[in-house]
Amino acid sequence: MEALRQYVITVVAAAMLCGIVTGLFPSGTGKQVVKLICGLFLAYTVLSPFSRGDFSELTDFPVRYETDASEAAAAGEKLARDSVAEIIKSETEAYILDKAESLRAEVTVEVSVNEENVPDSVTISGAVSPYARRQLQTIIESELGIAKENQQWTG
Amino acid sequence: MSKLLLIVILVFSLAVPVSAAELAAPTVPPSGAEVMPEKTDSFGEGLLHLLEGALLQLRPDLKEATKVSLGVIAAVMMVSLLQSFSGGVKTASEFAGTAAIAAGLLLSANSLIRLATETITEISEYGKLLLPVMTAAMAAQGGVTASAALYTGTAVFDAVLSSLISRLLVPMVYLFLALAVANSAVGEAILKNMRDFTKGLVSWCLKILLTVFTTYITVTGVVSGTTDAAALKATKVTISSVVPVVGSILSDASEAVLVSAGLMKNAAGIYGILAVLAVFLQPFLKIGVHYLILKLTAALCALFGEKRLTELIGDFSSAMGLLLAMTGSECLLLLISTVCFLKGVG
Repeated sequence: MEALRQYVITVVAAAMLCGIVTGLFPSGTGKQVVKLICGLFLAYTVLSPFSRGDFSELTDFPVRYETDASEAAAAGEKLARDSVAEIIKSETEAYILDKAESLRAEVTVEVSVNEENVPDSVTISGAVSPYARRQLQTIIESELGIAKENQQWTG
Repeated sequence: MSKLLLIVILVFSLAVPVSAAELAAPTVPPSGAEVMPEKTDSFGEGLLHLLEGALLQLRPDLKEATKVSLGVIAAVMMVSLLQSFSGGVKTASEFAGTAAIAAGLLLSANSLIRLATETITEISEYGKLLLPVMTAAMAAQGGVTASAALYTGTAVFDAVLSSLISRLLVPMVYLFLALAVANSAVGEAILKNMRDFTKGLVSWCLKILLTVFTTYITVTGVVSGTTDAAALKATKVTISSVVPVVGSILSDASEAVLVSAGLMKNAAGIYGILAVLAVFLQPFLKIGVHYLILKLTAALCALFGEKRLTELIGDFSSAMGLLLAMTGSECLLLLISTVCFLKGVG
């Protein structure tokens, strides 16, 4: 703020000095020359602080903000992906539970999804008859695309 | 029973699949909290509430501006009377008149310049908090490229504008006022030209920056929006080609997340716009009142006053006009960007 005050005072003082000097000269060629010199002097006074300014930090702006933007967008994308994964997981589990119940099997189901949010493995626990187990395995493989080797049966 | 369970799970999962906390707009800054509407679901009602609150708080400013204006009119009148009774002391009376008007107006001008600077900083700081939220919400809705481009553009232009205002344009306003006072006292053409140049430079800087920003936003919106729309379409095609049951679950889940992310984004965007306006409106109207009253004062003084003194009052109102332009530019930049975020993908 002090630098700013100094700058304003300098420019105004220079302008007033120029005004007074120009006013003192009688009209004619001499006055024109004085006006030209005053103009150059004023232009120098006004512009000199800007030529000394440091604008190097301006070049860092886009890079810094691009990184922040990518991070924010990635956070949003992850949020959406996680939400989709959560829905798919719970809906797939509900689907398997529904099929198990129709086969009179009481089970608990834990589904995992891969990076593309496609169910890739399942852990089923509970007492299931061999027939119901075979049926469920086939349904899970054909309808949900989870291969038999990725189906873990416990209990 | 199992069907009921399925329905319950489905309804629950479709209700708010995207975390509301992570996509909520930042709370309105304290300076705008007083006029900020409690319910922000309707933009029209919120805006009306904001205007009402801001207009109600204008009364003391109107009183203060009128008081200053009456003082200035009295000073111009005194100078005119002095000159009509004793023509020989023209220069001295003009000096005295300039000093009286400058003393009367500089104090309020200084406090208004400070108010404008604080408002610009506050809007810029709020923008820095709002941008990541809007970017994340838009990316969750599928606009990853567009949101990142919008964020970068807005943040860069905002940083440039706010630092340009605080480091160059506000000092220029002081310089403009100083030159106007010097011109009124001395009456040299060189001072008048310098004053006009300073004013022109400030408005030129603002115009150029806003034009470039609007162009950038328009071009980026079209280019990256198309990219995102194509990517979204490709994802939907891929999803439908997955195993039938999983494909349908995947498709429903993606649709639900897109819809809920859109709802969150709209809520955050509307709150953000209202919060920015809550911070902006009152100072803007306050400066606006001073601007209009000074314009009116200059028009009145032109009827009986000295030309240079009337010009000086006009210059003070021009300085208020520059402050309005600066504050308005900063607010407009953030509003345009938020509206672009709200427009969404494609």
